[in-house]
Amino acid sequence: MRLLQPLSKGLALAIIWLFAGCQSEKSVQETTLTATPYHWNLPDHFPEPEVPADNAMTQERVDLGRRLFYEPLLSLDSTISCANCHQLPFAFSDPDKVSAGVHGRRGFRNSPTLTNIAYNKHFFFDGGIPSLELQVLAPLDNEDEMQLNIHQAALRLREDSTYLYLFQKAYGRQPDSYSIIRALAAFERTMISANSPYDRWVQGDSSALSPAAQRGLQLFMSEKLQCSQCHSGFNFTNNGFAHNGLHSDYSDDPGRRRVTMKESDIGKFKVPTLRNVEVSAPYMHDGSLPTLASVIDHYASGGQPHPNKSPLITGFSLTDNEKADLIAFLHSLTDRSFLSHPKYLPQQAR
Amino acid sequence: MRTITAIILLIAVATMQWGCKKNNDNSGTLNLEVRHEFNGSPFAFGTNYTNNLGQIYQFNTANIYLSGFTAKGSTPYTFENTYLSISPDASTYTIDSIPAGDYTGLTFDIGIDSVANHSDPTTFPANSPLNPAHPRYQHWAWNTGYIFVKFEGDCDTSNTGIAGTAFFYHLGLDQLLRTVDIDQQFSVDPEGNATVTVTIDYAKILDDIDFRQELSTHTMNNLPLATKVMDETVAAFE
Ligand code: HEC
Ligand code: HEC
Repeated sequence: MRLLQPLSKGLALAIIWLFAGCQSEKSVQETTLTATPYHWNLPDHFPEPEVPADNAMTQERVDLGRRLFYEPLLSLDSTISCANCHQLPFAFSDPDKVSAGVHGRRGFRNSPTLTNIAYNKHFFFDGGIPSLELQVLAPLDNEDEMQLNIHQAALRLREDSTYLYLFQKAYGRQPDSYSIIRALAAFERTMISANSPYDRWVQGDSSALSPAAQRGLQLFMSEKLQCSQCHSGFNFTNNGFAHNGLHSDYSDDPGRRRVTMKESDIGKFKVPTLRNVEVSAPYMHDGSLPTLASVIDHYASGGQPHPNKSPLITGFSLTDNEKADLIAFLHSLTDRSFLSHPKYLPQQAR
Repeated sequence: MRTITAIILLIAVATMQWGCKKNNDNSGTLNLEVRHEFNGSPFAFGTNYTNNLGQIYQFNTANIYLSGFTAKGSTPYTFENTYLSISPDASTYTIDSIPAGDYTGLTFDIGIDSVANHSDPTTFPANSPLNPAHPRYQHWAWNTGYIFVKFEGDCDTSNTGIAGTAFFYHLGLDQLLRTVDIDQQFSVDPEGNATVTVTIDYAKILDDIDFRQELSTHTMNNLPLATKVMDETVAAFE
């Protein structure tokens, strides 16, 4: 009898082991998966962003994504993280005209703001990328940016026990391309800016906008300026593509033609949000306009001639006071609480 | 006592093994054997070749995605999830299991079907050539879609006799998917192996290419050149 006990125990273990062998490894690992609900806390005039079914928002995923956003291990020479080019004080954009990547190399476009990126339908100035998750593959592979195959990045993260634990909690799997792109996207979806003076004014605080900003808002919405035809809705973008007459020659960067191959798309770029635009200079895909005053001068001039230029860009004249009013309105879209919020800062060192 | 335990264990193992296994008693495995050749000789990277325009070049990368495999015959069989990345570094590839029977040939596509081509690469199994973990994973991150065919190497654009200028042809887009049709009798025995053999003659691929004018393309920026190289790639399969 005494002999039987350890034997039968062994047998039981063997059977359990055999059954486990039949199942996928995943269910065993999923034991530590934790899903603390994430709360959006949005004002009424902001819809809840759409989230892909396979990447539901949880606090664990957001926290992991935030750590990865500041992680230089994701670049070839371990010097560049997402935050190098997407810096919080500049609404996750870069004051450099064209950002420096690994080995100080420079790409060919200005780093855009990530403000309210959760509401975007297409990504990049030419709109070639259909989801925030897939967007992450681009800077990692791009030889001017981080230049590290995402699988190599995953292997580096697997050497760190803290990451093994955090990935297990967030996605029930080890670091891999699937979990890395989803965690970063989850964090990026939290970058919602909805607390500017303009937002408080929309919610009924009539003192939130100065008289100048209110006059600027009227101009922005006016038929004379047409700004709100393209920069429309709560996020000041129609999520479309347009040719705003910036240049007459686009041989350096054909814009949306790069992905559609249509001649009629040469010079068309993503219509950007104007939230936090005060701090996201320089402007346009190539960073060619240094200030908001120069942007307004550009639109007032009617822009450069080009067959694809939008018929909405016809030019107009403004008095100096009106120009100041329009700038005051654009400044009223700056959300100071967003630009310094601790939930976007890197976590304390481990 | 020990013997009894051992017997029970043995039965347990046998049962589990059987329970785990898919019901594929009547299937065998189909392999693809690829002969990498240049004008009838074995193909080699880093070797100077001359095309029909008299221009010198050498390859250092030649990766081709294949998908959409169907075995032809009175009862054709379509392989749903087989994606292969072919390179001169390997000649034997497993297509998948196939019902036993007699077949008359094989059709497959150069490239990736449009559904998989626009899927999230990270959702494919880690050992799939479509997953970023695969050493020959090739995808345009800035414009979702796989690079169906990637030829890279060096060529002589200035008549010095030295292949010193880099060329690249990255071909993709749904519209460049091309079908290859191979007639070849084969029979599959239950639990057995069968092999279809194809030859790729790399000499055909860069014939008619004038490197001075047609040095590179990532498809979107020069669709006519991409189409030309893709059509020559199809012709290279025998
Ligand atoms: C070397 C600078 C650099 C680094 C590092 C970098 N980015 Fe970017 N990012 C850019 C530039 C430039 C663009 C615009 C590219 C384009 O449109 O072609 C961009 C675009 C984006 C966009 C799309 C924005 C839009 O409105 O379409 C997102 C999202 C983004 N980056 C997230 C990230 C994440 C996440 C990381 C880290 C994995 C990262 N970036 C690393 C420079 C960088
Ligand atoms: C036809 C559509 C259209 C109209 C009308 C329009 N814009 Fe734009 N706007 C765009 C596009 C497209 C871009 C991005 C162009 C680029 O990246 O090269 C842009 C960029 C901007 C930027 C730079 C944002 C950044 O982060 O770089 C500002 C500021 C701006 N517009 C303000 C205005 C104002 C003010 C008006 C009215 C006077 C206006 N826009 C009218 C389409 C339009």
